Amino acid sequence: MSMEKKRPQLSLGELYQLKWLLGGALVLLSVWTVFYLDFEAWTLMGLTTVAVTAALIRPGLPALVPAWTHRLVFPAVVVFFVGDLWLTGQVLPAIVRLDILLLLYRGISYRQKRDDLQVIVLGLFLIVVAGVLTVSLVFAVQILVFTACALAFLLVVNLVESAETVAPKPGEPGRPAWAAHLRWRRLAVRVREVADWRVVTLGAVLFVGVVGVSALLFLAIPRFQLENSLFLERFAAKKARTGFNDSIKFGDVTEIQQDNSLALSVDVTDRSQIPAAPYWRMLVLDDYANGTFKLSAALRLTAFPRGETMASTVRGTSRAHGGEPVYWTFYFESGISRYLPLLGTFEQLRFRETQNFRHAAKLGVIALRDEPASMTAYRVEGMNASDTLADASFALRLRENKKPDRNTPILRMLKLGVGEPDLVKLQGVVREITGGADLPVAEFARRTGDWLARRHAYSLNPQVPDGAGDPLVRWLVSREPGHCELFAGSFVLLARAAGLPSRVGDRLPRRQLERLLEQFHDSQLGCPCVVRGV
Amino acid sequence: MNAAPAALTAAASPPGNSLAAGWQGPGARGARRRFTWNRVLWALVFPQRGQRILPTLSGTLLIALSLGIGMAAYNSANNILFITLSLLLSCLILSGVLSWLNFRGVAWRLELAPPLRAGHEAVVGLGLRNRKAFLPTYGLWFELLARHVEDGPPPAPESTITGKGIDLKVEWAKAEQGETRGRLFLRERLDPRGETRLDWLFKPLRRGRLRVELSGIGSQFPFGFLKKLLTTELREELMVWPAPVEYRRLKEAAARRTAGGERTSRTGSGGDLLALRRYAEGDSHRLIHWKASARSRQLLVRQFAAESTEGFSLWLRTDAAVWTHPEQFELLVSFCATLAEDLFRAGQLIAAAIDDEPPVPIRRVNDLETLLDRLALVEPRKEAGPGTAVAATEPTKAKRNVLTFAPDGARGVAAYVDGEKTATA
Repeated sequence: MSMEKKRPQLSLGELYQLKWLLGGALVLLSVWTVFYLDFEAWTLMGLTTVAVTAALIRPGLPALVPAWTHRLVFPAVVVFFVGDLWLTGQVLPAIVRLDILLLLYRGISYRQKRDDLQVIVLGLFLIVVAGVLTVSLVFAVQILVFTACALAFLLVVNLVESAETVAPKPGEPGRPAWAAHLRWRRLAVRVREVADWRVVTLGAVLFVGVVGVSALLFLAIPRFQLENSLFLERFAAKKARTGFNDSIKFGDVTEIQQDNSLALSVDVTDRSQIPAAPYWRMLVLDDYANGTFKLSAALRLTAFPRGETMASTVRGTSRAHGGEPVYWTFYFESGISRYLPLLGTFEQLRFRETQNFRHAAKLGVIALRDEPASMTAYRVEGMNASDTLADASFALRLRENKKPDRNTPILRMLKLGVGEPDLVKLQGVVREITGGADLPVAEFARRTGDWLARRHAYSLNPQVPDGAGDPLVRWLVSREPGHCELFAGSFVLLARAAGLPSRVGDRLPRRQLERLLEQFHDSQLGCPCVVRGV
Repeated sequence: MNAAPAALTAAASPPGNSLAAGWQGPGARGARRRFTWNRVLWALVFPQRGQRILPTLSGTLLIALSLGIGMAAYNSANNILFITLSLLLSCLILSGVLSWLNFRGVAWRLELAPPLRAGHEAVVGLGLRNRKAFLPTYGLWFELLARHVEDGPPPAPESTITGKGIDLKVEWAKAEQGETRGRLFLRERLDPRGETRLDWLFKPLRRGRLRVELSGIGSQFPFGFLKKLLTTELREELMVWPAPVEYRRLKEAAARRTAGGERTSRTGSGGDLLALRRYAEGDSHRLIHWKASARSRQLLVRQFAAESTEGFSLWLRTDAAVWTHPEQFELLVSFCATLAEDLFRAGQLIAAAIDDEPPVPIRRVNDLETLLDRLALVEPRKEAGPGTAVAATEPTKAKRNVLTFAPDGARGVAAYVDGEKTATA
């Protein structure tokens, strides 16, 4: 071979050493995503970091592992995964732990080409999951580093393959020759000798080009919305978060994760119209039975229209007022709810694109057919921002329905849904709050709120005492700490025990979602009103 | 008897033949075209004729992964997934660009070293050259094909074959008979402005005209996602001489001397002056041509022509009626070629004739090569010629010391000199 300038070339053994180094780096880079993933995988991550680093420093170590143990790895991993899934019941965290376990094994065993590709796929999965779940800026840095490392790794794998005269047999026991005499310093010197600065520069320029092309593709890829979206969060969010649910089941939740992510942005043309404490109302839960608050079928049937409407505009019940119209533009993030937050009745609501929805005008609720897969934007005109929903016929309907039929939506707001012993307990508490007097609604609400605040502390780690009977009543009469759902549910039960129609309202607060009591009365105002939040 | 001696082989390969093929490929001088971005971009999108790009297993995996991530991205409208999708697609584009750079500036040519002999290992050299300024080339492989070419006009295209897959497989297998395929790997880096040579060892299965082709060049560089294949039209034809065979001499055939002998154009110790040449150390002083030396002012010696006083003429008759078994006919040709070489080396081969053709004198190595080329292509003659009536075992009247051949049993071949059996194979 005649060459203008003879440069040294890495031997096959040195290429193997480089491959080992890059593979280990990829494993470490991938498992370190656990730092900002909120999964219980710290032990595995630590173990992987230590083991893979040790194998990187001393590549001869994997040869010390007896060959028969490799045959046990696959069954052991399967048992680990099934056990993990069974014990925790969390799909995505279990998959992440499985992924880390596989990376650990691949990081500390001599790899064939197939195993090298596995390392890349497993690592990419971890990084993408972390990116999707955290939406962190670190993701951008990490995926760039990962991509550079993975491309270099693939290049070396390819060079090894083309330089190999005889491919090593899979599962060949013993320490390979390249692992016996590995000196990282010597390899670094050799790589530096071999590298041509012009080639390295071109490689760097090409990588920058890749990033640029990625950015262009990212901008150029057409976007359109698909129905029935899939969210990784759905698999991950088994642990309850503060947020919206269309039913509340007491006794299930043992720990709630504070979710401070952005749920809703609102842009108002006239800022003076924004109430001091806006009540972003979404849904009401009027039916309580078996420890669960939900929207009753009867109310669903009567309040919501039978079929869905497919339109981009919703006509509300409010009528235009004089003066400059006020526009409320909502940017409702995905993954929150299919019920749209509103302040009250409105004149007109416009979506950015056509939507399938049901509008319950009496309840002031708009339900989309599916939970939006992306941020939903809508503009509301002529919205009533006060905390009162006028319902002039409420008192009349309540009186008419007071007779035998207890299934009407109005009377359902009086139904307690608890057994006789629990009813006795509730009545005892009501007597304690009211002192046996027939209090006005506002006064009753104030005293009940005070009573609950005195008796229970607020906590995201609620404790519902064990025992017989209704879980909500058990908590109510105890002194255990609780979260908003327990407070609101207790408030509703106490109000109903006092003979006041009430239901739980779901709303978005300034930072997060919490439950609110919606209490109705016809004694003084003649119309229902929202009394207060908890 | 072994293969032809090295001296004969070396002498038989003219110096020009070893570098017969010209350079081809993107780096060949004629292949360079004016650089335009338009052409580059278009070549990236739409590969040129003869270029194929196929995904490998890892490439298929990457495409499947991209599709999965793309579906998830559209399904969830998640920008993180769109970023990942964009990166994966960019990596595919980068792979294509690097693969293009890897092939750029590379040229190749076949370096053949005839003669080849049936059943003996032959070497086909593949010269490689990288004309890039500073980028090396990695991981190429070359598909080589050696295929026997039938003499005569190409067969007319046959009608469409219909049948089941198994029949087609049989047809393909038939078509591939007589083909030898090989793959050469560029295992080391081909440096910028560097050259290298890869050798392919193969055994020609039978005598005849052989076409050696560089049927394709492939590479999975840089990431192994895509397999890029180029087809070439680089091919060379060369002759495969009959295989040398072992034979047994029954008696030392002493050629009968004729009075005076015949003059040959080879140098020897005959009486006729053949040529003058420069004096070399060791030459006898008696051979110096003084007059010519004086005229040319340098010492010149006389060269005399050799006299073929002990030579044989070789007559090969290929009648199909006589040589009914193909294997026996092949043995005949090989035996004939082997005897011709041995006699030439011993300086005893005067002339050779095949069937009714007039005898061709064999004086130089080129004459012997021509004879071996003829023997490489000879086939049994269907129509009986006028000389067929003469039995090989009968002594020929016209000439003496004529070597003829006849079947020896069902498989063997015997050589006769003037009707006397002298050797068998």
